[in-house]
Amino acid sequence: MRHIFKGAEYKRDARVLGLLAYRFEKTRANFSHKNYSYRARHAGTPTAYGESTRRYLRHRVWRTLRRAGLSADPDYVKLAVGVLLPFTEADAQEPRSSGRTAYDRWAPYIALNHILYENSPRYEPSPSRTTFRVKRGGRPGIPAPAVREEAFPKLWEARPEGLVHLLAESECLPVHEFAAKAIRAVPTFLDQLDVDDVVMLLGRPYEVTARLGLELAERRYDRSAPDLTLLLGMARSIYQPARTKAFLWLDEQRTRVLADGAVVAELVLAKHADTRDFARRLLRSTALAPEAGSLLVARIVAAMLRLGHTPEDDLRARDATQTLVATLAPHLATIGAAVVKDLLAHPLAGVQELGAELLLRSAADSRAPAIPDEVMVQILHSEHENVRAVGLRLLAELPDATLARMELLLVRLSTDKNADLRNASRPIVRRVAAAHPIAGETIARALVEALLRRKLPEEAPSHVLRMLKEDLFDHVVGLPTEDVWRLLQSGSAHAQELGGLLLQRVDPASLQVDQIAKLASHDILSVRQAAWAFYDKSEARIRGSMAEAARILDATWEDSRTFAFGFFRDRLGADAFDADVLVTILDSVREDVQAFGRELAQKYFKDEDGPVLMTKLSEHPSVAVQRFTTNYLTRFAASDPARLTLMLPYFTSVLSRVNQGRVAKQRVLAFLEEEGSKNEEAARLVLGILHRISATVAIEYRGASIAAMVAIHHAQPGVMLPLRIKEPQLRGKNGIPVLV
Amino acid sequence: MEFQYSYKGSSGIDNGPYRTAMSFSPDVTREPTFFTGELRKPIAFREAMSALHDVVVSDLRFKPKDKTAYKEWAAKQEVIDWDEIARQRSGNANQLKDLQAQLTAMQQRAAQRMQPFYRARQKYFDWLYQKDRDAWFVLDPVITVHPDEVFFECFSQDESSYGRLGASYEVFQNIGELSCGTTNIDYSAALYDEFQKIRSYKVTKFGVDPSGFEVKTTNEEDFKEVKIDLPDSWVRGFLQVNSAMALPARAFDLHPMDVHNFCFVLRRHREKLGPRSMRWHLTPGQPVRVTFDPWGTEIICRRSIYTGPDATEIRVWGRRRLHILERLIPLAKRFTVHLLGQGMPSFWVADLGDMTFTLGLSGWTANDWSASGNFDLLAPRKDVDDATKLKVFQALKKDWLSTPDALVQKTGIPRAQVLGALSAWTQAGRAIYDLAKGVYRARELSREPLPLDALRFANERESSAMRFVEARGVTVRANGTQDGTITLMGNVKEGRNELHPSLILDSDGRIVRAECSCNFFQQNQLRKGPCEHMLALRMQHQRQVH
Repeated sequence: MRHIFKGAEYKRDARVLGLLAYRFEKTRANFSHKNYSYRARHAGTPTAYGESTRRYLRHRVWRTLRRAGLSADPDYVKLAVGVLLPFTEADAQEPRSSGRTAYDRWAPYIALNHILYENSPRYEPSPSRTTFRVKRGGRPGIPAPAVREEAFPKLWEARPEGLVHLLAESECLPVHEFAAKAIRAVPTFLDQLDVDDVVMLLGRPYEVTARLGLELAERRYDRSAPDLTLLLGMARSIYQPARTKAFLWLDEQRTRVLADGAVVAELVLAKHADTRDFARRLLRSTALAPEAGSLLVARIVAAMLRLGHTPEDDLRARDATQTLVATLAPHLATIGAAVVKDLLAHPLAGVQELGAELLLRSAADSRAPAIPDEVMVQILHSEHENVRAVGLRLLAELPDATLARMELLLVRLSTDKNADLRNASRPIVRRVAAAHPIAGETIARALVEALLRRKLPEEAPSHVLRMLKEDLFDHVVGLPTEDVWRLLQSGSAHAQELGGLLLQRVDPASLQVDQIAKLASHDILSVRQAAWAFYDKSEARIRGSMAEAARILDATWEDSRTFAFGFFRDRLGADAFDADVLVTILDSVREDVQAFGRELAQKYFKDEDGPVLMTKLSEHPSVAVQRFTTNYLTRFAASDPARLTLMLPYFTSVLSRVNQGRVAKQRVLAFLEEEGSKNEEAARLVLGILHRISATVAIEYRGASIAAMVAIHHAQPGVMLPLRIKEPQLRGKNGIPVLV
Repeated sequence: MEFQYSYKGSSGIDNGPYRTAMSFSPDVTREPTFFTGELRKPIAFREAMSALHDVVVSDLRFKPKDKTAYKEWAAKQEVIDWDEIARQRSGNANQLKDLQAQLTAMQQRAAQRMQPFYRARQKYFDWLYQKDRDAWFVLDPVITVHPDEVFFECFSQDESSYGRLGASYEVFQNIGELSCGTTNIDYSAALYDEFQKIRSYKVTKFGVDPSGFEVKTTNEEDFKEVKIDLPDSWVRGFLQVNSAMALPARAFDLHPMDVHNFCFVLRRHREKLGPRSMRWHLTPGQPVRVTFDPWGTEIICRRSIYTGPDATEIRVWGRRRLHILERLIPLAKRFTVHLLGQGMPSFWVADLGDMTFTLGLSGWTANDWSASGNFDLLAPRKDVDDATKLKVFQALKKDWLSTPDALVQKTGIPRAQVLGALSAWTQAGRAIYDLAKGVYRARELSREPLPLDALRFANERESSAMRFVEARGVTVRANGTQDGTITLMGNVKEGRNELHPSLILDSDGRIVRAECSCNFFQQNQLRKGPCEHMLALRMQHQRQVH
C-alpha cells in the first residue's frame, strides 16, 4: 500500500493518487490509538491503519499537492483533478453544527476542501485540521460567492484543460461550481472549444455547467447556418432557459430541422416533457412528405423499442405514442405486422399502447387481414390496464362479420381469468350470437364443454352459466339429450344447474327409464321434480320396465322417495308387481324402502311367486328382511330337501347373528326341527347346522338346538346324533355331588 | 407424509335387477395393474368385502361425549332455580308465577316457530355429513393382483386394525385380462351400500378397470387427482402390524362359534372401568380358554384344542375390534389366531374356503404414548447388505410370491440372510407375509419408497431409548400388585451418568404415573410424553417378559 501510494506521488500518477486519497477519506481506521497495545498483543487482529496513520495519510495527500502548488509545478492541476474526480454526490453529508460551529456538506474531506476552498470567504480549516468548518457569521449551504475560492488559481488558469476535464467527468456539485467559475477566467480558451464540447457542457446534469454551455452556444449560434447538433444539445439540456432558447431557434429553423429525421426522433423521445411537447407542436404544424414521414415513424418506433424499463422511459414512450398518433397518423400504416408484435411484446405500457393503437387502426380497415387470435390475447392479457382497454375497444369496433370468424377468441375471453375481460366480452358475444346463429351455436357448445371440463378459473363458471342462461339459451336448447345428461352428471354445480334448465325441454322418450330413476337422486330440486314429472307422464313405459323403474325408491333424497312411494302405491296395481320387482324393492338397504317393499309384498303377493321370492330374499343381509323371509318358510320350503339345501346358508346366517334377530332365530329353529324330523335326508342336513350352532354360549339357542337335535334323532333314529350324553352327577341333599 | 393418486373417474357399482357390475378405478400413476372377472361366489365375497369395509371405517378411539346441550339446559335451570329462591323470599309469589308462565309460553311459541328452521338446518347438516363421507377414509384400500390370488388390504382410521382379503381365482369365472402388481383403488362410502345388493342370482362382474392406463396420455382432464396427507403415526402403525405378521407366534384354530361367543359376550356387556383385556389361557391338549376382564367371564372353546408346545397365558387388548369378524362367522370354516405376546399385535385369519380374511390388530386400540412401545417391531432383525436385499427382492418380484426356502434355492443366499432381507422389505412396506399360505409376497404399498428412517421412531426419545436398551445399560425390577398394576423401577446408564426412572403401569398396561431424575422430566413432567429413560425401562421390561 505504502509503496503504491509513494510511487503514485513520485510518478505524479493522478488517477492512482486520487483513488487512494479517496479511500483514505472514506475508510474508517482499524483502531484508535488508545487500544493499540492491547491489539498488538492479540494475534489475528489488524495492527495496521490506525487512527493516527489515517490522519497522517490524509494530510499527506494535501501536503503533496501544496508542495507542488507552491513550487508552481504544472502537475498540480493534474494531481488536483485526480483527487477531485472520485468524489460523487453520494459522498455529501448532512450539514451539522455543534455549539456555534457549523459544518457544511463536504466538511470531512481534507484535500478536497483545501483544493476548492483554500481562499474561501465561506470555509476555514477547523482547529484540529481534520475538517473544514463554516466561518463565523456564515451558515451551511450559502451560495458560492463571486470571488474565486480555490488554491493556486493561477495554476488552474495556466492549464484550463484540467477544468474541462472536471466539467466533463465530475459528478460533484462543488467541483462544477468551482470549475465553471474558474474557466470563465480564460475566455480565449473558451472560444477555442469545439461544438461537441459545448454540447457536452449543455448535457451535464449541473445547472452551473449547463448555463456555461448556454452562454457559449449563444455566442456560436449562426442564424444562416445553424448547427443542429448544438440546437439539439440545448433542447435536451437540464437547464430550462437553454431549452426555451432552443425551442425558439428550432422553430426559426423548422425546415432544416424537419429535414433531419434523426433530430426530430430525438426530440420526440427527449427526456424532458416540454421538449417532447415542443416536438409534437412542431410536427402538428407541418405536413410531411410520405417518404420522410414513414422514415421518421420508423426511426421513432425503433428508438421506442430500444427504451429501458424505467417509469421515466414509460412516460417518454407514452408521449411518443401520442405524438405519433396525433401528428403522424397518415404514415403509421407503413409499420409492419412483425413490428406490431414486437411492440406488443415490449414490457413498457407506453410501447404496448402504440402496438394496440396500430392494430386498432388496421382493424378499422376492412381490407386488412383478420387479426390473429394470439395477438388479440396478447393485448387483452397485457398487465397494463390502458393497453387492455385499447384491446377491448378494438374488439368492440371490429365488425360483426369479422368477430363471427373469431368465435374461439370469444370463448377464450368469456372464460378468461380477468373479470373485466369476461364482462366486456359478454355484450359482444350476445351481439354476434344474435346476428350469426351458427357462430352463436359454436360459442355455446364450446362454453358447455368448458363447463363440463371443470378447469375454468375461479368465478368463471358462474359467468359462463349466466351467459348461457341469459344470452345464449336459444343456442343451447337444441343440445342433444346425451349432453344434457352429461351436464347433469357433472361434478360442477353450474353445469348441473344448466342441465336442470335444459332437462325441462328434453323429451322423456329420449331418456332410459333407469336414467330417469337416477335423476330422482340428483342434488338439484328442479331436476328431481323433472324426474317425477317424467314418471307421471310415462306410466306405460314405467310398467314396461318395472325393475328399472323401481330404482327410484332407492333415491338418496327423501322427497323423491315420498313421491315414489305414492306413485307405486296409488298408480300401479297388482299386475305391475311380479316377484322380481318386489325383490328389487326389498333389496334396498334403506329401512323405509324395505318396509314399503314388505307392505307391497303382503298386498300383491301371488302364491306362484312364493318360492322365487323366498329364495331371493334369503340372500338379503339385513336382519329385518331375514325375519320377513321366515314368513315364507313353512309355506314354500317345507318338505322339499332340494330347497332346504338351497336355503342352508340363510339358516346359518340367521342363527349366527350375534345378539340380534331373536324372532327369526326361534322361527328358523322350530322350522328346522320340524323339517329334520320328516325324513332322513333332511335330518342330516339340519343336524349339520344345529351341531354347528350348538356351540354357542347363549343358553336359549344352545338348549333349543340340542333339544331339536335330540328330537330329530328320535324321529329319525337312523341319523347319528353328534352328541355324547354325560351321565348326570348324583347330588345329595343340598346339591352337593355324591360319589357313587 | 403426502400421498398422491390419480384416478380415471370414480369407482362405481351399477346395480341392475339382473346384473351387478363393480368397477374399481386404479391409480393410473402406478404400474398398470388390472383384473376383470365374474364372481362365482358373490355372497361370500359380499360378506368379506363388507368386513373389509368395517375395517376401513373402524374408529374405536375414545370420543368425549357432547355435553353442550346439557350444559345449556343446566345454565337455564340455574336461572330458574334462582328465580325460585327469589320468589320464595319475596311476597310477590303469584305475580312471579304468572310472569314465569308467560315466559314459558313465549319460549314455547318461539321454539315452535323456530322448529322448522332448526329441522331444516339439521337436515342440511346431515346431508353435508353424508356428502363428505369420503373424507373420512384415510388411505384408499390397496389392491394387489398376484398369479394365485387377488387381495385387498386396508388399515383403519384409528391406526389399529389391518384387514386383508385374499380371493383365489376359484372365486371368479370368465376371467379376462389381468396384469400383476399393486395399486390403490378409489373407494367411497357409497360403495358399501351398493355392495349389500350383491346377490347370487345376478351376474356379478368385478373389475379393476384397465381403461385408465390406455387413455392416460390423451385426455388429462378426466382424471381425478387425490392428495392425501397421512399422519406419520398411521403409516408407522400400518408397517408395524405388517412386519409383525412375519414374527414367530403361537397359532391355534378356533371354531367359528367361538368367535361368535366372544362377540356375544362383548355385545352383552359394556365395561365402565378397566382392565379391558382378553386373557388367553393356552394349555397343550386342553380346550382354549378365554377370560374377559374385568368381569372374569370365561369362555371355554370346547371344539378348539390347543396343540402348542407349552402352557401360557397371554393378554391382549382392544377386543371390541373383533366385531369386525361378525359377518364372517356364518361363512367361516375356522379361524386361526396368531398371538405374538402380551400387548403385541394379534392376527385372526378366517378361512372362507376360497377366500381368506386376515384381521391384524395392533397391541392397543389407542396408539398414544401411554400404551405404545412397539417400536421394536420396526427394528432391523439382521444386518443384510443392500446388494443381497436387492437380489432377494428381485427374485421375489419375479414370481410375485415365494417361500423363503424357494428364494434360498433361487438366489443361493443363506437362509438367515434371505429372512433378514425379507423382514427388511416387509418393514419398508414393499413385501408382506401371507399368514394363510405361509409365503412372502411382493406388494409395494406406495408408488415411492417410504422414508423408513423417518418412520421408525415417533420422536428422538424413542430412538435414544432403543440405544440404551441395546447398549445393555438398563436394569429393571418389576413389582406386581393384587389389582394388576405393575411398578417398574430401575437404572439407566447414559454416558457417565446413571438415571433412576420409575413407572407405574395400570392393569391395562398404560403408564399412569412416572418419574425420572433426568432433565427432560424435571422440565416437562409428562406433558410431552415419557422421557427416553422411562421408555427404555419399559422396553427392557417387555423384553424380559417375552
